[in-house]
Amino acid sequence: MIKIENLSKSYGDLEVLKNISVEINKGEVISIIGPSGCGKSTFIRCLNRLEEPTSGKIFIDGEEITGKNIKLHKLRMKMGMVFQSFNLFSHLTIIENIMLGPVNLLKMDRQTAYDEGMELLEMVGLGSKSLSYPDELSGGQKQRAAIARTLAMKPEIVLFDEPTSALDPRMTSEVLAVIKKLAADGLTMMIVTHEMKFAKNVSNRVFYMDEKGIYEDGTPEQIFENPKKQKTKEFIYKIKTLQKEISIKEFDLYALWAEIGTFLKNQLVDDKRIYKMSLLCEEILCNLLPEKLGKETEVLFSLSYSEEKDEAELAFQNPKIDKSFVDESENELPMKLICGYAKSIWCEDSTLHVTV
Amino acid sequence: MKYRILCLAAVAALVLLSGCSGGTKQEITYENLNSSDITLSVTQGTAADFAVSEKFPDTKIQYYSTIPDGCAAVKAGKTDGYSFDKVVLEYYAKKNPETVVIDESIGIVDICAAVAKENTGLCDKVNAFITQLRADGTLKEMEERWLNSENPQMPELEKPQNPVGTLRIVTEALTEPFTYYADGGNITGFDIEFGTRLAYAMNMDVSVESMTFEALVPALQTGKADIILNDLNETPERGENALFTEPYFTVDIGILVGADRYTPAISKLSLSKAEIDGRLKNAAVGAMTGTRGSTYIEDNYPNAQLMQFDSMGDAVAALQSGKVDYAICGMTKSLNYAKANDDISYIDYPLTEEGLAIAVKKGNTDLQNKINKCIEEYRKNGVLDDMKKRWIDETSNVYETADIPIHLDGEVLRVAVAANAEPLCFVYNNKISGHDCELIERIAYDLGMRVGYQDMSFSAEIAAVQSGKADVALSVVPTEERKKSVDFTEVYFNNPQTLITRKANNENMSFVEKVTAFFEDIKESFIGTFITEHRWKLILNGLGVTIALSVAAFIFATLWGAVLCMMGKSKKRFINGFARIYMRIVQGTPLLVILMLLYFVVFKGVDIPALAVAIIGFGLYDGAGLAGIFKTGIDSVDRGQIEAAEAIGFQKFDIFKKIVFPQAANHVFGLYKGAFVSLTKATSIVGYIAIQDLTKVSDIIRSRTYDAFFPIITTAVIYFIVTYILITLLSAAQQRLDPKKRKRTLKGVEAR
Ligand SMILES: Nc1ncnc2c1ncn2[C@@H]1O[C@H](COP(=O)(O)OP(=O)(O)O)[C@@H](O)[C@H]1O
Ligand SMILES: [Mg+2]
Repeated sequence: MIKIENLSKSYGDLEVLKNISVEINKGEVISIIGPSGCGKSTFIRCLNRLEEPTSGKIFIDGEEITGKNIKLHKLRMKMGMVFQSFNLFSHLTIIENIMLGPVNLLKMDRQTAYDEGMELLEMVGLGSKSLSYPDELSGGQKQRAAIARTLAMKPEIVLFDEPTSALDPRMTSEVLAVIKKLAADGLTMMIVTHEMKFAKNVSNRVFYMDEKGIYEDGTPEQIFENPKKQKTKEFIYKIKTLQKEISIKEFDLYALWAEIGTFLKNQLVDDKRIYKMSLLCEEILCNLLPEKLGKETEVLFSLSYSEEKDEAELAFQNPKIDKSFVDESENELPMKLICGYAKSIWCEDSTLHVTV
Repeated sequence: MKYRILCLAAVAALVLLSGCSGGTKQEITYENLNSSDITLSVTQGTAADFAVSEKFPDTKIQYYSTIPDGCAAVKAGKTDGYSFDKVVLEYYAKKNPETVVIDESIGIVDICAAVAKENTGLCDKVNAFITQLRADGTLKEMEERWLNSENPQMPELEKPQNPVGTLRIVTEALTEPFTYYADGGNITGFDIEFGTRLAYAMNMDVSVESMTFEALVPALQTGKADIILNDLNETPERGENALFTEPYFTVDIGILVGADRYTPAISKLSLSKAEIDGRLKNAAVGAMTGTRGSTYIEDNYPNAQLMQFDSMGDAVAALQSGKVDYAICGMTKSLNYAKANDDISYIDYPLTEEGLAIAVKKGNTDLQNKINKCIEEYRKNGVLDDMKKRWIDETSNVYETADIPIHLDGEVLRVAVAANAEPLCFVYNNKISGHDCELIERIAYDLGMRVGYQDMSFSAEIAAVQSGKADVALSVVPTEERKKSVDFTEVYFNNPQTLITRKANNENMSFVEKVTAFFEDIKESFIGTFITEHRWKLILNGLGVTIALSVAAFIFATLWGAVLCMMGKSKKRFINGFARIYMRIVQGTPLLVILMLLYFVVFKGVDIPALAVAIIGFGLYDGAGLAGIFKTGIDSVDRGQIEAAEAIGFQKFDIFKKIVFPQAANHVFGLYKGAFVSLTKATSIVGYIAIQDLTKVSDIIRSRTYDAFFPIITTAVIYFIVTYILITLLSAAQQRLDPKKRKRTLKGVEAR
């Protein structure tokens, strides 16, 4: 359906995309992941030419859309786009936002546009908000409205650029639910996202972007479980693991809690477990380790979450830590508490492991 | 609302209070004017400016740009005196009894016309014309009409049949009686009659346009006008930029001072006929038995309480002691009583026409004709005027006599006189002299005779002539009755019946009287500003011009601002560069300068109405400001929304129309509204280029009523109301722009 040949894009001297060639088929739901600043947005914005590619060709249904003389607005009508910042028209009500395109561009009569618009609004769960203005809605509602606005144009493909990055987790899930439903209905979509779980569950194809191109292209299973290439591996590991050097003497417990909270929430870990995790960290870093190792030491802290095992794992690495560590202190108070919270606890290669 | 009323009340109280301030200040006399304690005001560059600095080197000088402002400053006690042409100041003093013009003149000023520097042809023509007008007595006649009569009217002049071109006069039209707006908004006055006569004499049509003083000379230089007629005198500076003709008139320079600080030799009271009628209705009036004055009161004021006295002196004594409120007698006598008695005021309204003539024996047509010829000649060559000045207008008791040669061997002309009528005929320096005596002595000389006076009582004069004891009798009013006994020559002097009264003394006014007087003043101001001469029409026209100009200019400014804003957004360097530089330059230049440049330079020699120039000027100027506002509005629209519209498939123009414009408009509407209001107020400067807007109209009215306070407040109030209405209308429009204030319904669909 979409064929891209040698697409390149530079901003002045800065080359962002280089010789990308890829083909996208009807019905595919493609997640685009990658470190920030690697050109994900640039890539999908080149597709509907909000950014002008520096070179290369794009074909839609065999028709080239990169030439000078093509009717740009006609192309865009076939390609919807959903933005990170919603971009609803703030002077129009939600239903007017939705009707604006169909009435003016598709020349639909107002009543039909209204009826279809209302249907879409109900589909995204905003039937009662049709006469509200955008700034009267929450972020999640705005994004759902924006999706409805895009769908109203009956696009053949919808491009999403980090649709949930500006939302907090609860709202994130309501938007993701809508997108999931669209995927189930067979709509062709390209989604730039940081929601790895969502990417894995919903899409049937994943682009990992890096080094100015699509670095690795594969099924979700392949990219997330068995990445083939080095950078992909690192990236996947990184998103699965939070790693930090911690000085026992002067670390900031509250900052660490916040980091742990955000990380686990992104992995869709429930609040109860996050709470336990926080208490464990406090007990280990403030009581257990200072007692055993003294205050003047540093440990390498890491936190990861495994979906299969549905288990979060904490690790503290320091040369002085050894097997005796757990056994010796079994009857001391901190260890008792720790054992109370933890699912399992063991030592291995100067590292203390705790799972929840 | 309550709060607003309170504010208004506070402002009104302030205005009232400001009218009640001031303490007693030093008495002013001509002698103590030259002192560093005194501040005299002038209008810069006028003849008075030079005269004051020359005559009073020690005095501090202050400047007021217009005559009404200077006069108003005197009235308000802001300055000790204001110097300008005496006739003009007298007009003011007449209408503002709080002020008087001092008796002395401090100089004279020659009034000339001015033409373009290189236009010597026209200058020569004007000079020749002035000589001609002076010779045939027309100038005299014009002076009589404009300066000495109650309600001067422009005479019907014969228009040329086939005019070649038009003589374009420019004038400020703020100087009554020389050049001013009369009833119906026409410019008239001495200068205008002069200009009209000049044009017709040159077989041309005439057009008169008014503009600000500062614009007059530029109008000549740029060919917008042919001649300035504006009570104008030549100064070295003006002489560099325009060519001045010979003077066509000469006036004294006087000083206006506060009435409470100056005691004139003659205390004069200016009343109109209507006011006199009102005052005399039931008043006690003294007169001398059997005089014309006595009859006049009897005939015209039957309800007045007429008291007859044997001599005029007794009548005056009765006036002084309060037995009567007014006394009536001939003008020369009235003036003398007022001159001699500090507590008596002369009311300068001529109640009757009383020509004085010379009586000759019935049938002595030879002598009658000879005398008539002499009088006619004296009238033409200014001798009569000169005599009047020296005898009648003299404010002291010291007269300047003329040395009339005598034919010692000539036949005696026996003249019957009653030498008790200063200044007509009285004993001065032990000699029978006076205005009438000088006249008859001149006549006698011209006829080769010498005068022999026979002093007798007035009632005997006619009998003396009738009986042949005397050849002529002086100072006689030719009544029908008297014409039966003797023949009369032409009238040589008009000595109307006038009134005198006790000087008003307002110092003891009670509070109630003061308040009443205050409201009386306001009522008068109101009538003067709106009713008299249908001035409300003038105001309405001015208001119309102001509104039309504001609206048209603002529409133009909006369009031009939109274009500029678009140019500023253009990617082409020279286009957005032009817009940027244009906005910088225009906004850094005073609006007035732009207006003048357009009018005098850009549209030089182009026949385009001044109003159109103003619309263009304001449009160009405010366009720059609006472009900035528009840019702010457009920049305020979120880029993301524009991108979203692009992504949906909208094209540029639609995006602007449906997304950018509605939001931008809502965002900057407050600024836009403010710009309109300030433009409306800024239009008040267009008087500079000959447009009669509201402000100009108020200047015109002020120049006529010499009422500083009322027209200004009136205009302020009108501007306030107009801008208030504009703001209200625009705010209503704003309500419709703001999405949040609209009704939440969707048009054209059947809602679920
Ligand atoms: N308009 C622009 N001008 C210059 N550089 C840009 C512009 N937009 C993006 N970039 C640069 O291009 C690179 C890719 O940006 P982007 O596509 O937004 O990354 P991502 O969406 O993957 O985070 C970044 O280095 C960014 O700084
Ligand atoms: Mg991005």
